[in-house]
Amino acid sequence: MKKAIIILALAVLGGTSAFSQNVWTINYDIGLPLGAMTDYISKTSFRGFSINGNAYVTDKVSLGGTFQWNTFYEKYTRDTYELADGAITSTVWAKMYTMPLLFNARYNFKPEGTIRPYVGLGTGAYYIQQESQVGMFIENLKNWRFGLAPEAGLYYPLGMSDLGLHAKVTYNYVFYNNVRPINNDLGYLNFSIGLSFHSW
Amino acid sequence: MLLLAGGVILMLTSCIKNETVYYDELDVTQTKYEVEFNYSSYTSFAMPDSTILKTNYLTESEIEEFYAPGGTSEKTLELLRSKFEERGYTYTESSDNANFVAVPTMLMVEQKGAVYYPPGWWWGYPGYGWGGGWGGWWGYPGYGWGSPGYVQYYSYKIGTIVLEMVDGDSFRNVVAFGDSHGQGNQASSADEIPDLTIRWMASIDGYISSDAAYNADRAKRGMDEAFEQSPYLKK
Repeated sequence: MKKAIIILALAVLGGTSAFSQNVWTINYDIGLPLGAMTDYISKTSFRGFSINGNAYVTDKVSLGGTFQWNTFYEKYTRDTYELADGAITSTVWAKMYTMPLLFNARYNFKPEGTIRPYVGLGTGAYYIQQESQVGMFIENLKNWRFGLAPEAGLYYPLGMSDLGLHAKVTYNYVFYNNVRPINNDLGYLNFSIGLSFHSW
Repeated sequence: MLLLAGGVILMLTSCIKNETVYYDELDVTQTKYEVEFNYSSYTSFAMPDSTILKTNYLTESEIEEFYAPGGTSEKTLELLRSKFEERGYTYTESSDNANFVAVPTMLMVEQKGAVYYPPGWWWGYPGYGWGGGWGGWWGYPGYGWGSPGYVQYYSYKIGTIVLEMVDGDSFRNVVAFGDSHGQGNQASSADEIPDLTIRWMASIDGYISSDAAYNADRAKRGMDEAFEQSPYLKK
């Protein structure tokens, strides 16, 4: 894992001098749980951010890395849950912190355009901290899992400056089927809105 | 770039979810039973003279108060008795022939400890905030590499009520075994010791607050919930 982080850091930071054009983005992220994840937390996350650095390796293809963070949270009011040979009555809290560290490749349709759309694919490690609380009892699970993140977005440079606007949608798919109580792969959408910095 | 980094750290701190939680939200009521057992086969039940108390912090006088007439011990017994009676079971004074024995136990335990925040401690500091503006904490007194750190002491009290429905025959076997193998006698081999059959058990856990009436209400709610969870308990 350490090795992967170092390589990622190099890919992001070392890119500056090696390639002709770099794009950095910093974003506010909204997270929308999908599928099996909604059984654990169905509420949209309004706490998140992401940073991405990409460098062009050809006219249209850029490579880079993404760091992203989301806090998912849901509180279930006091209720009774039936078990195989009993029951439990309590307030239940579910919290999930997701932090992907991804490499990504993007295909930029119009790298010089006024609006610069792209599609991409990210892959890498997702650090997922899951805190399940049943009344006074808390279970904290911390896991690193492999995941995939297809993405589509656009840069909108502001006039002649290096500054632009950025918007992106990412579908995160994490191989998470051996972590209770979800026991299933995790899927969630990220809507990222932020600023882009273009440098040559 | 500095501004950018500051912005990221600000977002990071607001990404940890915290909120106000009340004692009663942390209360947990659990029950466990024998799925195959027919609870209607029991008719009568007996009870001990008092609620068993295990504590590591109550004073002598508080313990006396617990066992005094009209005290917590008696109230708990009465409540448990009424719960079983509501379900159609008949209370009997003597355990000689009772089908089951209803036993309440109360645990009141204080936990103490200390948390040490090493340099980097500000992540856990309760008064820590961003009110000072960007990078405000750089000037915070005590901040710096090699600072001695920060110790926070904690203490909390947990109360647990355990309700047990003990099979009458197994209870009498265990009592008889105890009488014939009094304290001081050699322990017998394991297979000789009769099993104590617990047909049903409830456990009500919560943090004890300084408000006794609030605690009593929560304990009562827990006992209500334990019986609501157990519709199979009926004559």
